[in-house]
Amino acid sequence: MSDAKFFQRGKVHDLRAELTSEKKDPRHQRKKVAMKKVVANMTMGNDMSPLFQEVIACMGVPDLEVKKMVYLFLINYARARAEIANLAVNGFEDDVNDPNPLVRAMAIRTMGYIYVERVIESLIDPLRHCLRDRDPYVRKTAAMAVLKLSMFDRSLVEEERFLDMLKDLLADSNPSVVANAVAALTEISERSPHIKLKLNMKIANKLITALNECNEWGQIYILESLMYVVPQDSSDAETIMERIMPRLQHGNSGVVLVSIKVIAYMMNYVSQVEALEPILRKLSPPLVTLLTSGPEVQYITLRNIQLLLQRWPTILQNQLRAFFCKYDDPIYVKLAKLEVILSLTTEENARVVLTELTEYATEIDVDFVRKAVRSIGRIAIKIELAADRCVRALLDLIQTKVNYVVQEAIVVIRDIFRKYPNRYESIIGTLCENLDSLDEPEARAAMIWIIGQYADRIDNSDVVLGTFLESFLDDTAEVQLALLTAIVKLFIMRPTAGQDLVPKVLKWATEDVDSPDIRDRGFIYWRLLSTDPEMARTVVLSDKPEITAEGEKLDMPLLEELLLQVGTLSSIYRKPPSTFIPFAKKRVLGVSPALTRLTIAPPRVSRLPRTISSAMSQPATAAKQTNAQASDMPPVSATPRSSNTQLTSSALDISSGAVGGMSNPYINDYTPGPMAGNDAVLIDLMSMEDDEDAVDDSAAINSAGMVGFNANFGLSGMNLASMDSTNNAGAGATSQSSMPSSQQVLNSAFDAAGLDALSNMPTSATSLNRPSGNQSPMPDLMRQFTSSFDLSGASSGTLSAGGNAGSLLANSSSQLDPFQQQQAFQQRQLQPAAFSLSAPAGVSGGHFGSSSAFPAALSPTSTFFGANSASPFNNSVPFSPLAQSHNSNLTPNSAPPAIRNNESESTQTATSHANSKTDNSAALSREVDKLAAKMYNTGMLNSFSNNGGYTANVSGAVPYVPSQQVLLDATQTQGLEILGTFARRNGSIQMEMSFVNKSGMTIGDFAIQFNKNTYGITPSGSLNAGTVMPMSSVEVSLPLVTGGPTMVMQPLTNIQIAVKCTAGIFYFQTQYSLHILLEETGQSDQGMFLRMWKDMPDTMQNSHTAQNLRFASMEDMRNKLNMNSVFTVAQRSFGNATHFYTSSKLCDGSMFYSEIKVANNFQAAIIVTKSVNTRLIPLYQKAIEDICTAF
Amino acid sequence: MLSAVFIYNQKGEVLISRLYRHDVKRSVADVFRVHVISSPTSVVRSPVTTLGSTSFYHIRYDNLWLCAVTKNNASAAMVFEFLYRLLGLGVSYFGRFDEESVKNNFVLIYELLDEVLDFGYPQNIEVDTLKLYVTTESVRSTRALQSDALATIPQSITMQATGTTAWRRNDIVYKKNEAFVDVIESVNLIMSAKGTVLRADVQGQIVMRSFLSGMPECKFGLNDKLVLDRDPASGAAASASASASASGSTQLGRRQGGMGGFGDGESVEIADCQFHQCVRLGRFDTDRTISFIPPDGEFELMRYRTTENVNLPFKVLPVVREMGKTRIEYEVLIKSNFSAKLSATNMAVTIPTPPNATKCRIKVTGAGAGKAKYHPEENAIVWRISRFQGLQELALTAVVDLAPMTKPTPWSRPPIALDFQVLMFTASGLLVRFLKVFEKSNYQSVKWVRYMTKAGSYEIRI
Repeated sequence: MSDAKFFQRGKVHDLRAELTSEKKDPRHQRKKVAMKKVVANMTMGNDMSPLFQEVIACMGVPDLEVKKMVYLFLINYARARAEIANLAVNGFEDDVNDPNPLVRAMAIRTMGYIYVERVIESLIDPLRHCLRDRDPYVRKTAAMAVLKLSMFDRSLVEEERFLDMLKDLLADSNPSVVANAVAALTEISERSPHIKLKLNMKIANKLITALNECNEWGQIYILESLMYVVPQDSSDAETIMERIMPRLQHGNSGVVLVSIKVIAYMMNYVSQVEALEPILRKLSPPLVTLLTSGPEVQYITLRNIQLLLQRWPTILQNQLRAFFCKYDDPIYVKLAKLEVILSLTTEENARVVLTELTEYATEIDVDFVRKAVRSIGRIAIKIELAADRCVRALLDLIQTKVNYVVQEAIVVIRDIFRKYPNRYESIIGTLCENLDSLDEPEARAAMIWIIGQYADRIDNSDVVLGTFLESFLDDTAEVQLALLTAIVKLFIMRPTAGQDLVPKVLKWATEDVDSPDIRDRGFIYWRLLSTDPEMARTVVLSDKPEITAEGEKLDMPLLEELLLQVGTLSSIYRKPPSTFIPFAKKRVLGVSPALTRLTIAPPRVSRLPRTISSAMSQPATAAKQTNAQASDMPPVSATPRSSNTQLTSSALDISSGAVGGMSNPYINDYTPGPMAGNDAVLIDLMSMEDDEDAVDDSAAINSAGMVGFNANFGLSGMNLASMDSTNNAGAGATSQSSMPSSQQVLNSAFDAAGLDALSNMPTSATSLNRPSGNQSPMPDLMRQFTSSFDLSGASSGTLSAGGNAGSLLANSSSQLDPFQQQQAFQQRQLQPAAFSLSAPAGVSGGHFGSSSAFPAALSPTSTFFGANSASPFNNSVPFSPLAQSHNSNLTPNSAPPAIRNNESESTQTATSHANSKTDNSAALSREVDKLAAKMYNTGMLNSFSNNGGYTANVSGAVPYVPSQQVLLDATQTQGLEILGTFARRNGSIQMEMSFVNKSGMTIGDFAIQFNKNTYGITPSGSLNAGTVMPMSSVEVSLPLVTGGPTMVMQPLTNIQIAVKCTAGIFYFQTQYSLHILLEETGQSDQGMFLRMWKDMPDTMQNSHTAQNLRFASMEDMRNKLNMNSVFTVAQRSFGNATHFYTSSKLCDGSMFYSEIKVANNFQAAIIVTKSVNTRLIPLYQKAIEDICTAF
Repeated sequence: MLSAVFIYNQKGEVLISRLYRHDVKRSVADVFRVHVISSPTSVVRSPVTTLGSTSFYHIRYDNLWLCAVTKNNASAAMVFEFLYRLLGLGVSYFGRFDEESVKNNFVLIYELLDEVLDFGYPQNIEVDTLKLYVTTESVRSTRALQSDALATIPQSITMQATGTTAWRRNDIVYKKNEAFVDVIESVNLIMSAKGTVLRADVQGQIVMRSFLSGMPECKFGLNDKLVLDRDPASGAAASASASASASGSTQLGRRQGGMGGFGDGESVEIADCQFHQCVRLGRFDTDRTISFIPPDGEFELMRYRTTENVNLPFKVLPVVREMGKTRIEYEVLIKSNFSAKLSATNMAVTIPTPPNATKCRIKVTGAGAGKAKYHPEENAIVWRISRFQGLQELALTAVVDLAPMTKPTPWSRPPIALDFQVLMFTASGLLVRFLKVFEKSNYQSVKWVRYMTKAGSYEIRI
């Protein structure tokens, strides 16, 4: 029997006649046929709502098929015809009491769909019954109906206590009912502003038990709900993971992916790195298996693999080949595979990958081929050893003369040139053969850059550039910029060759081009060249910041958020759900004592034989033995952990003392340094200069020191082991990886500084031949400088500075953003990385003496800071960069041209081409636009821009130094009393101490040693206390640096110190005020502040009240705060109060944003602080309070 | 969760439109048509399309587009699994799932959609259960919900639909209790032009057809390395002889003679496997036992994947020489690499030719070398061999003339693709060691096993 014939347009009145026909219809066949016609027409989009009345009349027909069609009709049209829908209520009321459970369920189900007041009202009572129906089918349908109801009227559900009934259903005996109840509860909480679903372990365990009996969809709902469990200790998380592990074998990819999501979430709560490895191993096979599903599921899997790989780089090791593209894979699968291949490329498999990519580069799909070519270039940048082979492959591809392949290859070769200067210049000749075929702007710009960069080595560079110049006015801005710079370079390197071209290009650039970018750069060059050619040379030919291939990496908070969304749409788009779903709640890792966020560092030197690497991760039980082994071992961070455990006392004979003991396994956040797997480490406490004394010293520790130790630190056991010196070679590796970011900053800061100095120079404006239309060239230029500085110097969020011209922003942000994110990210990552390398140091045995050099080399902040202070710009600028960037917001004409700095290449990265990235940043820029618009509306912008810039204006205020405290009581020692405090002066940390000798004899030969502490504070100089005569005292200032060996202390600012002197060795602990760790570079701009403030949920916020502030005026307070690196971003005055908005940056890069509300009488201040580093907020606020209440 | 499900025909006309939530209107069906189905770019760039805050997930099957719509951050994998399942449901109900069958059964499809999704949440999509109460006309009168017969039947239906073994009714009776196990392996290969294996893996499927009465409890065993290595006794037995263990200790009947083509008794390392939802995953996780209560009739019991020691049934040695711009010469040698007792059937070798090929002179050599023909519409020479004996060698030589092109574009050289089936051969070496059936009535059951290896994507680059 075929229904296809009903698929034709029926007229309403004909159908009405059929429905109301009086003809005999004993088996309801006529009605049925008529209804089918109605439904068919409804499907085709014809409006059947006029038939409402007639259709409702059919409800009474005792035929289930007709009934179902009537219901379908009602669902479709009831809303439009609410008044008639009421007529259906009677019919429903009969049905909900039908003895047949299927009919009851259907009635409940249908009523829930009909969002009409009257129908919903009449649903409430039956629904209550149905939730307790004896038939599970009815109960599970009723559970869903509650959800429907809540979407119609949220308050109704709460008033009628349906939520409680739903909760009761969680304990239902039938798994389908449980699953639907869970699904309903999850969505209700997801959409409700005040209902927050939280499941405890007891419920979680019950639900997991129900998993086994659920159908596949029910399993998905239940697994999804486990995301609302916040494990309170590591074992909870491990239990959950273990119990859902079997789901990875499920045939339904939805079940598998949601299981992976839960596991990825739970892994954040595991305290032992060892526990993670087997889990990660188990994740790989199912992920590969998912690649045998349909192409759609493959695509989703691949997108998620990318995320997982970034967080857990060790998964899918040796699975590379599974990602090789099949010829008939859909294009979206191929492109996604390519990304994964790139992430999995290592030194070992680079050759195989390269062969494969070369193969892809000959395929047909243009996008795919381009991406393949681009990937070859990225491998060259990522893996230095493979660079030669990559370049050869690219040259081969250029020989194919396929137009888009050639152009793509040239673009990536440009990046390779930048990464490896002076290595591949020999191929320029080959590149130049293809000049004619370049028609894409990006390729043209790349080629022009290459020629400009090597203008002095290419004989006819002037001719070639001249040829390009002919079409200058027809080219895109990108090409024009490149050409302008290239010709200036040519002129600087070969003045005679360039002298004809330069005036031409400068004239065109400044007079005939509309783009402010090019015009302004033209002016800069013009002025540079005409005033100080030497300066021009320095600026134009400055070293380029290094580029890396890792720019596509997401920054940590985003990655973390996306990993909570594995398998969902959000993970595919790599955007938080809130960006495309209006009601979406932001998901964060629930805070609990168990939250560790452990990471596993990927093996850096992967050639290391497995046996050794496992030996490395072994506890240093026999430190000596391993030491011997370690000397010829390459530096590896196998696992950033050297286990605590019982060091055997046989280690006593090793030269200097170290104490093994338990440290607190509590780990704070992902920002502070010592996060990586530090539940137990070797504490290197005392290292005495005199080796011969070592044994004696150890003995001293055992005797005299023991008391103090056990009392103070509660160490579980004390043993001696080898000196835990830092791994020098490892340190080198890390510091290298950190270099790009700091160097970048340095360079851009330099550029900005150079230009700034220049523009302040008395120049004869007349020599510049300006177009008269431009009224105020000077401020214009200045603005660019400042925004350029702003962008290069500040961290990732500074996008808002460019939040004006959409296209420009998209462009610039696509280039800048990866950079800055990376930069910020690296700063955060640096210390963990350092730690991961230094942790196994106990077994790898570097040179003892090197340990002090190591932190200095590593510390990102010192370089960073140095760069800034080297720049006259930062200190002498008469107005704040912040205010300025907002000004440029207001004047769209002066888009931030200098965003790309003085030379476009200095901020371009290899990754700036990535399509996906561009998409993202375009979206991001829209966001920023929106935000900017919002700021205008609320008037915040105005109040903000009136108060920019408090950076340097701190005269009169002095840094806060707490008064000295007694650290060591003379009664405990042989008469030595030590008082001390910590201070930060001019960007360096000091410990200021007084040694008071209350004994009868002279005390001298002072040495000091800090135990590992949370931020790796260590002395950077020696203790020059000299000798202290009896009954006299000495004041000492000990310079300190951060970046030494780290270990999380409790409280975080606790620090354990040992002092050796002729009177003995003494141990004590003290706490410092957090403000000494605040960087002088913590000034945030307003856009950034707003964005971060908005982004951070209330869970990252804390409020604190400080009383009895000691200030004379608001300005006084502001200065005082600024002096102590609590920078005012903005300030608003109200009648009797003033609000400060402040930012600070900790030495590890984590930011604190605060709103400080101060009453005008300075009675009290309310400090509301937000930071991802939630653990530190109270300490930070305490520091502010101390600053504000100090004399 | 899903807000709507649409089914379109090839032209983009809506055949089925079912809205589940009020956050979308019927008109979004047109949005998808305009942006995706009728989009000028013929290649679909993503299976998910998000327009504004509305996301469309689609799959294509036959001449249909199946599209699910959401307004929230749904689990994409789940949505696609649902669409796949919906497809399976259609095929199972109507035999085929195409425009015609959708139109012919649209009322039924609406009924099914009402049942399988509640407020956009997938519910029970088990064909067996659904067929109990969402029925085609003829069955309806007997089973359906006539008011007088209500007392018992719906109860059992609802228990079935919500119960722990939703996939099986408990009232099944067969006179003769039989179970058929088909091990079907697809070999995937990517081989470089130089003959190096870039990637070789086997995707296996164990399909079972059970015709067993009552609620049988089945246990299933393979020569899985993990199991065999764990249990030394059975490991020894397995290494003694797989065929012995297959015929002797396990009561497995066979339709065909001894297995050939791979080493006996090897255990197989399964990289990963997935099971039908009837399999108790918890038990598999603890002791690698595959135990289950099977659905009635045919179902896919498990899928597995192996990557180690793949026995490639065919080796292909291609030589392709471009002789200037006008001619290409091919020499393709194929060797079979399995026992001479076995043979491959329905073999087809697709050898791609450039788009500007004009004439092909083809010669095949070897006994039973089949026929090779140039198919201009496919840009390929297709060589069909009805029967390819084990340990045999066949060769093809061809000379292809090319038409001169005004704008020479290089030829992308797609890979040579093989299609074949080899019975009683598994490329992974996997064997079924036993299938045990326990039922409370303790009946005797007959079990059959069959092996087949076929080409998945068997590509040799040239």
